[in-house]
Amino acid sequence: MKNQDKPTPIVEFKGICKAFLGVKALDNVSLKINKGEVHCILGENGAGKSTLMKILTGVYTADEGDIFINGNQVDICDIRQAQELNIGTVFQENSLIPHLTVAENIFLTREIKNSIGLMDWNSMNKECIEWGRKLGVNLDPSITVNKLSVAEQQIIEIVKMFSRNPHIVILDEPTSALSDSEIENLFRIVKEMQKQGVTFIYISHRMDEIKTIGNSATVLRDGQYIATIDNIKEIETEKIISYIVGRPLDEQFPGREAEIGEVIFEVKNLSVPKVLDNINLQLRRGEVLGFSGLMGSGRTETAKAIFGALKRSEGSIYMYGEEIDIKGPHDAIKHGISYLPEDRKEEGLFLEKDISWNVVFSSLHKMKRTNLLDMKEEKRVVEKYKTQLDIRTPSIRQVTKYLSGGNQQKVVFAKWLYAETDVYIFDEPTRGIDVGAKSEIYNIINDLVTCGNAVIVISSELPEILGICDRIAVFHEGTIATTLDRTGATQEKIMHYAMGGDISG
Amino acid sequence: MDKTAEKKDSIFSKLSRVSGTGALLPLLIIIIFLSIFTKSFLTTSNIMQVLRQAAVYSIMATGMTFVIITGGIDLSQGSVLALCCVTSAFTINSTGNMWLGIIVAILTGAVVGLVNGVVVAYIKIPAFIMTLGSLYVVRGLTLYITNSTQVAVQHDKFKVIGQGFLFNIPIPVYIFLIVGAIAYIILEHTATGRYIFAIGSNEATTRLSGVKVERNIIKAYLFSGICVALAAVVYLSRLSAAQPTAGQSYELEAIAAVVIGGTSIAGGEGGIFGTLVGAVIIAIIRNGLVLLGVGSFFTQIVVGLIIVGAVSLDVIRRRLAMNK
Repeated sequence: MKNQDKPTPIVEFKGICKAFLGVKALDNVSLKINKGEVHCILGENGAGKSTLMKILTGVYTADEGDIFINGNQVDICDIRQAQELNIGTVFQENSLIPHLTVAENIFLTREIKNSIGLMDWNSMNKECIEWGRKLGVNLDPSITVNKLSVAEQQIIEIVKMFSRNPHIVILDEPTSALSDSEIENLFRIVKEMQKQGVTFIYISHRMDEIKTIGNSATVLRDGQYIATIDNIKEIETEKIISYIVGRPLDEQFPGREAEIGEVIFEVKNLSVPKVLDNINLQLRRGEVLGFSGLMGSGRTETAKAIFGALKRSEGSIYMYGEEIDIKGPHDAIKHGISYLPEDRKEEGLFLEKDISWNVVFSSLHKMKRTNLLDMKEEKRVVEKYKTQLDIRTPSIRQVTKYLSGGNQQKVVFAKWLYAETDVYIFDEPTRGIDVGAKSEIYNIINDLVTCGNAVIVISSELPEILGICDRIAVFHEGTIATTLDRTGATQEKIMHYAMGGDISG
Repeated sequence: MDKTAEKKDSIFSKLSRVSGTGALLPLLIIIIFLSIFTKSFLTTSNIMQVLRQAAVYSIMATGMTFVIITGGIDLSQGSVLALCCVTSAFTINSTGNMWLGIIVAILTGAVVGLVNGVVVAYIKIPAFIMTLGSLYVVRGLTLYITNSTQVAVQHDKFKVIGQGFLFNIPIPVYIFLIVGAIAYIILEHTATGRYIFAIGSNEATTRLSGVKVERNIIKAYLFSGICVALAAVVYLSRLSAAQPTAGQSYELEAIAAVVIGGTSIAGGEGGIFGTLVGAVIIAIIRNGLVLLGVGSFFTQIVVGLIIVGAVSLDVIRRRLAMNK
């Protein structure tokens, strides 16, 4: 907080707290943003950036703390109120309606009507073009949005927001879907608007962008305020990264004594058009390989392509030295590969079904007596895993929807343990679960590799990756930028490669 | 489960897990009502009459249950019933062999079911659209091959299927109970049954669990087609004639039985037991309103109200269970 001598900040957060189901997403966060600046909010996935922005736009309400706009305390309860305060947002996923025209989208909910209450298309189209011209973009107001590219849609989104005369604009990872020239165009527009007095709050993971477009920055970590950077162009990138990752390695990672053996699994030249480019990796018996990288860098896509859930255009997969043919998840499982998806609720569980149903689902062939399912065997197996993984529930007949995140995840783990594959891929295995359950899950992973299996762990949490993996493959834009050994790896190194730093750096 | 405190809850939850128990209460109420207000309802001959009437619908509804549990629907059932009747009748008339007639009916139903299933599973058009298309195509085909005229069947043994009795119980009742039992075993005790529920419950998870989703969707439509064929055999045998216009809107009757029986139209939840209860409820209402001397158009009103009422009750019950 070194801004006291400066004029009243346009936005000020004071002591903001927000918890979800008892987990603190923001803990006493205070920060100030000055008028006319591009202020970056930096932090890892889950640091609280998006939560803070959602509080500013009225999507969430803070549990504690105050927000000041131009020195006046405000209560923002919904998006409409945020709009009235001239706060505009461009979210990661765009909010345009695909089959409406550009003009219809831009004037949505504020349609210009003529004297008898019908839509005045001429005026709307004209105004549209006018707004575009102010930002130096040529608009065709009558084209439907779904005919535009993602980048063009984003521009429309920005024009739409700009047409509402915002004083504060939130850009949440606006460049994730854009090419270099499109990014350049976006930055030109941002600078244009900045000249006209608009303040920007800019969320991005890309260091180079932050340096190009940003003026100042605030770093958040684990929901807490860490640092303010007054002049982002002068500070060293390494310094910023150390602010972002800064915490010491927790001691919550149990050690293991797995013997690392021969290569049992190998992927060669795996490619998926526009998503993955020439992925190569090897996995040894008893080894935990980490996939690190930013969201959308190709970690999950690699796992899904290996598992047959994403169609690959090229690439071969080897198990014990033999090439295996994977056309879909059923082939992968047959050959001894399992995949625990990152989205537990949408892809991992049948929420409406009970624990027992979920655990045995992938391995029904194992509990067949003649052609019928052996219900006694089912009960025996599920009770065994319930005890082994300590799934806390009154009954294995409990519907999984009602379990806590940690217990839900254990049910999905039990499902794959019962499938008894050789290679396990765990995608964000500890997301959204509490610390206690986390270390239990690390123990399960340790047990697996100690028994001679091999495990791939995909995680956005660097301490977790460093704490449990033997080697770490760092993904950047659909390729493996580098593979680090556990001994030589640091959070800073991983972030460096994940953000596209060159190999020499 | 042996703790006293949990006992009440466990009986309740056990009961509610047997899908279709929700429809038992309305069934009981209707039976009691009709027993009090009519003299002839609770007689053996009337009950047998009701069950025989329920047979055709409930066999169709059994197949419909499979499809609806996957999250789909089969609107072609009524048309397929007519086509199966006609192909079966032609076969029996030209060969004199009733068994061959039954086999041809089953093959007819299976082919249409297979086509429905393959298009829904692989081309991924909504089941509603695909089977609506089949409804028209199959009906048109039936009218074309019969030249819109009825095909009479003269075969004394074949008549027994729809008109005969065994131990004073109509043979169609045995057929619907056997089909129901087989369907129950498939759904509740085989891997295929679980996959069918799984597809309706969460297709993404099903696929990522290693299930060949398409293959199991096809099985459900195939089963629906075969059930319709069996219903067609009963129907043809009872009337001794195949009318090309037979079975119109029977698919709606089957859907009604399924939803009254507590199967979720969104898929993933439900069961055969409920469907059979649903089919019996509809048959009893038809019969009861006649016994009460109420005009037949009233039947439609009451069936409509029962559909909305039964599903509303089910939704409310679930909501209460969730808030608990």
